[in-house]
Amino acid sequence: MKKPTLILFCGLPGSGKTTLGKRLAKERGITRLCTDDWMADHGLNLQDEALHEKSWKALWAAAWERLADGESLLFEDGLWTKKERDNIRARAKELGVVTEFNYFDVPLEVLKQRVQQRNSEGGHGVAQITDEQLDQYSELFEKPSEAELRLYDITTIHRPSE
Amino acid sequence: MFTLRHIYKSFSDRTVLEDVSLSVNAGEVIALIGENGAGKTTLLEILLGTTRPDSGHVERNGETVGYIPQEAVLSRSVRESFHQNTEEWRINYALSQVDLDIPLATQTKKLSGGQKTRLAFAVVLATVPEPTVLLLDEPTNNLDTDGLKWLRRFIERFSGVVLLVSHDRAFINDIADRVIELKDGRLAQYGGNYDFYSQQKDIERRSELVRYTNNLEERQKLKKAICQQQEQGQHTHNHIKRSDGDKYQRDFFRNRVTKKFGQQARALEKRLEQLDDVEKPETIRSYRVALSGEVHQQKLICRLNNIDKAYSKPVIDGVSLEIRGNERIQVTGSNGSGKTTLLKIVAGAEVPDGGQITIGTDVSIGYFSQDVNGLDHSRTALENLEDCITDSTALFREARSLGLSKFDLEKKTGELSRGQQAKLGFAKLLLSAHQLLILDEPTNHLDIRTKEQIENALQHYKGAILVASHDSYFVDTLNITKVVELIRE
Repeated sequence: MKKPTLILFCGLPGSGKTTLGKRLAKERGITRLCTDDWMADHGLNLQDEALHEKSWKALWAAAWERLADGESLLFEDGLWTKKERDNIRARAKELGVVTEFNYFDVPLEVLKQRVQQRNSEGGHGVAQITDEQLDQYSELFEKPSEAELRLYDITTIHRPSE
Repeated sequence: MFTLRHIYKSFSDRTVLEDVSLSVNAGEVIALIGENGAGKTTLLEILLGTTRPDSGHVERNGETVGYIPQEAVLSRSVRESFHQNTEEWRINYALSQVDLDIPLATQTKKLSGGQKTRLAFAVVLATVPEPTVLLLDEPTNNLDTDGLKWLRRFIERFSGVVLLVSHDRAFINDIADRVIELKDGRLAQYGGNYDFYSQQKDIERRSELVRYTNNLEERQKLKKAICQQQEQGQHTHNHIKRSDGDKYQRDFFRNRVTKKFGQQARALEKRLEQLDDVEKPETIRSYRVALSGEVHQQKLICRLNNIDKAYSKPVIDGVSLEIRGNERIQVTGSNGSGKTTLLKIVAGAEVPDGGQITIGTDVSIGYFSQDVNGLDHSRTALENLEDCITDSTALFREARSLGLSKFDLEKKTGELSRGQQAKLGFAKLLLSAHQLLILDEPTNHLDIRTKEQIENALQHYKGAILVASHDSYFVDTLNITKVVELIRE
């Protein structure tokens, strides 16, 4: 019998994760888990980092349970650090889950433009992010190396089209 | 999930599908097998929705079906091969699902065979909505070992259902959760891989044989009993006498006894009539012609010394090889490593640029590939075989053991199906008593039954074999003694 698939996203705010995530989940008929959306759904403050961390953990715990039951799903998350990604990959391997990794390689300038646009539009599960915050995030973000990208079962790199 | 219920389909006078039901579960890998002309394509078309069944239901339950044909149809460039409205992220996504990392502007003619196959998969994956069921038509035909590895990995990772039509037993064995077989319009299902299917078939064949023999014995027993009853009736009729000479009494007893035996005989006849007709089960006939080609173990068949061959670039570079006695040599290597060129050089169909070839004294070489079978299409099958042997008993026996009937032999070769032509080519090859057979992907495009018949025939060949084949089941039956790997630099 087929193994379940876990679709992962890696990228900074504004890189296009949500747009692709929603489309893929709809087309494939699988559940999309997203911490920001979940918090917004429950009326929680997106800026509360401790709460964000708790929600994130709870969602992942639920995700692993469903994957272990053989359900494929999409976890929309930034996965900024290598350690985070390594842990997820190791757990997925343990459970025999196929990993589809989507890396959004978008220049910071493009991200800033998109985030400014998004800030002005607002919407469900959208946190307001300033250019300064984005600069900070970009420093925290650990780009996956070529070698790391080869460790997932399927890797797609998304770059903005010229 | 996807379900077919009681599907019937006929074309003019021929019933192609008869009461076919199939239910496909999430994530399953199903192999569809059957002889050429068994209706596999019709079944695929019904699954795809391009052909409507005469009766029965197809329930798609929201599944989308994608079809990947045997020969990929691609446009000029990678980008153009996708539908013009396909968004770039989708193309990108589909290409990564097939592990293809090439710029979109790449010309498709510059792609290798394996890359073209992958691109064809990507094109289907990039359709909207993305297919959840993939129908693959003979997907392993144009793949080399690396390509097969890729396909296996792809199928394992693909989250939807895969239904593949295939004659590739090793691949089915590796990948299938279920084997379904179309025969005479009916679908039989086996819940396992090819080995499981094979075991079940064997059990079925044996029980059919037991049923047939039991039926035959029962018939003979009944016939014998009927005769006995009739004889006894007659005997008693003739010998009943009464000591008192009472004619009336004698006739009374005589009639009563005759009637009784007659009734019993009629009851037995009725039982005989009611016995089901059990058809004789089909068995693959074993080979009975002792084929020549036998040579002394140390006899030099062929020696290649430092052979070079280049077309626009070097294909074979410094290859040396010696074949003696009845060695069985397999040539391996990825597509483009020069296997076909090497085999053609040994067969004398290509001239090397450098190096020496020595062919042993009185050694005759036979060559067979999916394209070259040494047959003259304008002549009948029989005439083709008569070229190599005058003993017509041996000829017919040989042809029959390969599943070619007298009726087939009278046809023009060009009118035979591809499978029958391959069998005829093999019959010719084997009757010609060559000391070396060169086989280049001989089982490509052949159905499983034809492959088994050819394997069976080759079991009795006594000479040397030089073979290139991706069909590991076929290769296993040849008792390979040496493997030569060509490495592309």
